[in-house]
Amino acid sequence: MSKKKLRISHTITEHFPECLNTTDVKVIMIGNHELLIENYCGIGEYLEQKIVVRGRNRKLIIEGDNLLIEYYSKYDLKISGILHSLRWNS
Amino acid sequence: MTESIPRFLRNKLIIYIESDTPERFLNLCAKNEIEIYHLRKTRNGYRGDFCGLCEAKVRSLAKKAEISIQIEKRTGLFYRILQYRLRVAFILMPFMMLIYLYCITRSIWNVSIEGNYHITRDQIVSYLNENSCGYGAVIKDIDLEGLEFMLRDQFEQIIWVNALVEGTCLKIQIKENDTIGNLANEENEFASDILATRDGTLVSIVVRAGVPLHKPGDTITRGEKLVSGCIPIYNNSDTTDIVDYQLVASDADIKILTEITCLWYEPKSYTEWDAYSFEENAMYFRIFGQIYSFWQNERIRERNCQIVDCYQLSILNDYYLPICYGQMKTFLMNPMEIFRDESTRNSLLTEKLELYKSMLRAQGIIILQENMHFLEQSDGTYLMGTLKIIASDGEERMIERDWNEQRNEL
Repeated sequence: MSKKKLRISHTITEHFPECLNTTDVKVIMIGNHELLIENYCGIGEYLEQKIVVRGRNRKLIIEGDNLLIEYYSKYDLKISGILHSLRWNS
Repeated sequence: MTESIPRFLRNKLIIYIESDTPERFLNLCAKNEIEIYHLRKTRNGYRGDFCGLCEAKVRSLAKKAEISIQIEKRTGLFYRILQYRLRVAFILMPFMMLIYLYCITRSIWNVSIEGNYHITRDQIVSYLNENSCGYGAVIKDIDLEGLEFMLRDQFEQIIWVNALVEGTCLKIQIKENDTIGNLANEENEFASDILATRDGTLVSIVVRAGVPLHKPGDTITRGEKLVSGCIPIYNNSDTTDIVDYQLVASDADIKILTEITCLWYEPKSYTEWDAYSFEENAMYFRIFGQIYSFWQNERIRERNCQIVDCYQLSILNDYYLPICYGQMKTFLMNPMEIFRDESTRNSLLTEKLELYKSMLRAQGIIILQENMHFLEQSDGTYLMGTLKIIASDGEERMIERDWNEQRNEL
């Protein structure tokens, strides 16, 4: 990509809201039974008691019982089960 | 996006992943935009629903991730068609149906008539059928303007008609004339004579327009001219010199004394069809005008079926199909021979005569004398004779003849 194009794209994205302009993983938790995750890189590990979701800089470790990936696509991920804890690990 | 597609049509693969570390494979699938649902851990691996037509891609990604997968089930419309691909009928049936529907919608299968009061629907429909414009007629062969003209020509009550084809329905909107008599009179403003319609003796003649050719007391025959619409114009100084003729529509009140012959008959016995007490209702189908029912054919042949209701199938609002269904009522008929004695027959004949006389009186006819008598025969009784009446007479006829002939008559 040329310098000019880079400059233009930077100019456009600097006016975006902060929540859209970030590279961090976005997590929405509904009670302790559902978890919606966006802006992630992939799954690091998937077990019934533990799921590791990779972000750009850090990993999100989800622990619980009977964890199930209800929906998994390029953009978002939905986990259901009994959630005990969420930890960030670099 | 796949949520909007009904579940049974959605193409998906239920895949069993034989590995304890499927993360790389799952990430590769997500990167390749393969959506995964209900991914759950089983005893020796994982099982999930992979959406879309992605079998080849999933296999290559599994190979790339160095894991083995088993496709347990394929569901959805595409896989269902693939499953029955060898069955010719399954493939051909939809196309055959489309061709059949296309062919069927080239013809008229319903006639809708609006605005008729005096003319019945049956009259119009039978007229259309006679002229190959009704049930089953090919749409492209129907000349709508010609049909409108034909209808106006056939039924004189119709003053306006609009015919159009919508789908397989021929819609006819008509407007009838309520004042047909007045119109007829207006049309007869041409020069006309008045002719006698029956034999008799002229009782009175009051002429409003035209020249009377007979006087009261004259004996007239049927077809004889009573009033001429050709009035001679005389020179003022010389009354014998005819200068010109003026043609008028003859108008006169003419009364004649005449006789009408009457004859009525009452047989000694007649057959009355007595319906059995029980009735049966059953479904029937009418396909291309042919009625099919669940009854035995014998009953249908007995002509004792009555169609109660009729519903016609249609694809859309106006695309009617030649298939009707409804309920038919049947009842068995029992022929009964009924005998009547002489007095009953005579009273029935007298009733008929009285009814006829009252009908004549309602028309303004005066009955002067009646010479009726009963005649007993082996098969029944006849009431015959003549009625002497005074009735209005005269029939208009347009003048089309030569001037010289008119002059000679005068």
